[in-house]
Amino acid sequence: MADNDEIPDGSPPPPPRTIIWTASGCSVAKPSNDILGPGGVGGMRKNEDRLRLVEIENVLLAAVADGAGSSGLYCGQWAQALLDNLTKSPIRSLGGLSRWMDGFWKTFATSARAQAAPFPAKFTKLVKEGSCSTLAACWMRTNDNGGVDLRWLGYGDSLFAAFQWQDGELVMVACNPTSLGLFDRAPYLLNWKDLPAASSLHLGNMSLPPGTIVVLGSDGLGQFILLRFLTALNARDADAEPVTGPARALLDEYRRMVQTGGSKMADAARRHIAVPCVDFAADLEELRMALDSEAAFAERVRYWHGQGLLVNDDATLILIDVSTVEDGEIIDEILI
Amino acid sequence: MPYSQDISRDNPGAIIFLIDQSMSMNKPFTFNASGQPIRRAAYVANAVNRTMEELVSRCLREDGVRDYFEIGVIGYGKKGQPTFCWEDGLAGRKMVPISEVAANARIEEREIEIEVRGELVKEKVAQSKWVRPAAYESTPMRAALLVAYAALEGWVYRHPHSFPPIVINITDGAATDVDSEDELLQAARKITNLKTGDGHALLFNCHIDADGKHPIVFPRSTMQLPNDPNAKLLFEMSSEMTDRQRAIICELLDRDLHDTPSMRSMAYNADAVSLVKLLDIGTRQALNVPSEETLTVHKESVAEPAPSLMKDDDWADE
Repeated sequence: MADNDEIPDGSPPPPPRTIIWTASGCSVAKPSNDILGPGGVGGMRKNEDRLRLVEIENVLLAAVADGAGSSGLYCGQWAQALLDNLTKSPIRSLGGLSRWMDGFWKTFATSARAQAAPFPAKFTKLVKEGSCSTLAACWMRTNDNGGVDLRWLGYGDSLFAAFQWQDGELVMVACNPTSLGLFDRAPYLLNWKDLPAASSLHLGNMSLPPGTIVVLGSDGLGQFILLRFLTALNARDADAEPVTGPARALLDEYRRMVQTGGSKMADAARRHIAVPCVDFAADLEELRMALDSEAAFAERVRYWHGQGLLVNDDATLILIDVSTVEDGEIIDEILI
Repeated sequence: MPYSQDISRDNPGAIIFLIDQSMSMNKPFTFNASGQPIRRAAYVANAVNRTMEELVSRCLREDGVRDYFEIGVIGYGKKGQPTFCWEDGLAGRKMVPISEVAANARIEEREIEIEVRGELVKEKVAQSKWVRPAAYESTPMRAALLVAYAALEGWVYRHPHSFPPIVINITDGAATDVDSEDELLQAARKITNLKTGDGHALLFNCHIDADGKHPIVFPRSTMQLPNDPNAKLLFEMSSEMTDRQRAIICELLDRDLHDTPSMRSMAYNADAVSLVKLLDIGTRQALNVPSEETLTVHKESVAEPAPSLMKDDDWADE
C-alpha cells in the first residue's frame, strides 16, 4: 500500500478482500494463411497451436502448446495430447516430465503410426522425426497468506512471463525464454520419441501478489509482447528507475540487436523501435479486450501483422490477472 | 537483410542439382560395410537422392507435400549439351514442383535403427530415389552451369521476392569444356550474379575426391582443402556465406563463430544435406538432440515462497 493510501485515524477498517484470478485465452491460425492443393482447391491451413485453461478443484491450469510445422508429423495432435494429459499437479523436474510423458506417449505414437501407415513418405517422416511441440504451462492456487502460489514450466520457445505493477508501471518479474536470440534459433521441442532434454526444460515457482499479470503465448505472439515491452522500456527517461530483474538482460540484448544485429529477430526489433510503444500496459489491455472473441483476437493479430510488428505465425495467448475483490463479490473467474 | 525470406508457397525456392556423369565417375570412391567398392557415380546419385529426400521431408505436412520448391536435375557427361535428366514420370521436364518430385519417386524399403525414448528400435521405412548412377564420357561443367543459368534467369524474374535460387554442383574433377580456369569462373559468376530481392543466387560445389576420406563442409579457406587445383577452383567458384548463414552453420555444426570469419558454400567428400538444414522452409525446424547439460531451474526472487508452496508434496520442489 502506498503512503498516500494510509487509513486516517478513526476510519472504519477496509472490508476484507479475497484474492482472485481472471483468465482468458484464445488461439488463431496465422494471419496470412495459404490455400492447399493445386488451383486453389482445398482450405485454410490448420492452426497447430493449442491452449488449455481450466480450473481443477482449487488449481488454475493454464498452458500453451505450439505444434511444430516442419519437424515431425501430427504436431497439432501432439500439442493437444500434451495439454489433455496435464493434471492439477505441477510438473516440477526433468524426471517428473519424463514420467508424465511415459503415461501417454505410446498411445499417441500408436495412433499416429496407424494414421501414417498408408503413406510411406509420411510414415518414414513420423518414424524418423516423431511429433514436436513446445509446452508452456503454469499452475496457480491461493495460499494461506492471502497470495497466489504459481509454478511454471517452459519447454521450447513459447512464452511464459509475469509482470507486476510497481510505482505505476508494469515490471517484468519472470520470463522464459530468457534471450531474444532464442527465437532465432532452431528450438528443441517435446517429442514423444525423445526423452526430454534437461537443457530445454525451464522451471520456476513464485508467489504472486495482487496486481500480477501472467502471460503465456506461442512464439510469434511471445516475440511481439516482449518487443513491445522492451520498446517501451528502451524509451523511458534517462532518470527513470534502473531496469532490474529478467528485463535487464533482455533490454541489453534488444539494444545490441537494434544497433548491430543481423538476424531476423534484430530486424523485428528494428521494426518495433520504429513504432514507439507509449504505454505497454495499454497494448496488453488491447490484447485482453481482443480475447473476448476469436474474431476480435484474429482481427488484432492481423492488424499487428499488417503493421509489420507480428510475424506470420499461428497466434495463441493466455492472460491471467491476479487481483482482489471485496469478500462476497460475485466474479467470473475464467473467460475462455 | 539478404537471405532472410522464408521459403513458402507464395515465395517458393528453386534448387538445381548439377551432376558430373563423366567417365571418371566409374572409379571407386569408398567401400561399403562389406568391403565392396562404391563407385563415385553411385555415391553422387545417393548424395543427390538423400538431399532431395530431405527437401521433400521438409515440405511434407499432414495434408501432403507443399510446393515450397521447384527442383531441377542436370546431368553432364555425354557429348553435346547437358540436359535436365529427370527419368520415368518426369522425363523431359525441367524445373518441377516438389510435390510432383515426391509423387514420382521410386520407393525402396529399407530397415533402419532409430532411438525411441533412449532405446534402439528397428523400423522399416521408405527410401525415395530419383537419380540413378551414370558415367559416360567428358566433363562439360561450363555448359552445365550455363544450362542452369538459362533455367534460373527466367525463374528469378518470375519470383522477384523469393529466397534466391541454389545450384548444387557435384563433381570429381576438372571441366573438359574450358581452356582456362577463368572460363569456368565466368560461368559460375553468371549464376551467382543472378538475384532476387532477397540476394544473389548461391552456388554450392561438392567436390568428391579419390580417397573418399576427410570430409569437409563449408571450408573457411583453401588451406583446409587438399593441394589440388580443382578443389581450389571449386572453392573460388563457391558462394561466400553471409554472416547470418555463418552463424547458423556454426550452430548446426558446433563450430566457434569467432574462429570462422568467412565460409564458402562448398563440400569436399561430403554431400549437401547440411545445406538444406540452413533453409527456412515454411517454419524453423526443431533440433531435438539429446543433451547432457544440466537442468536449468529458475527461481524468481519476487517474494518469499509462501509456506504452502513448500509443505505440500504435490507442489514442493523435487
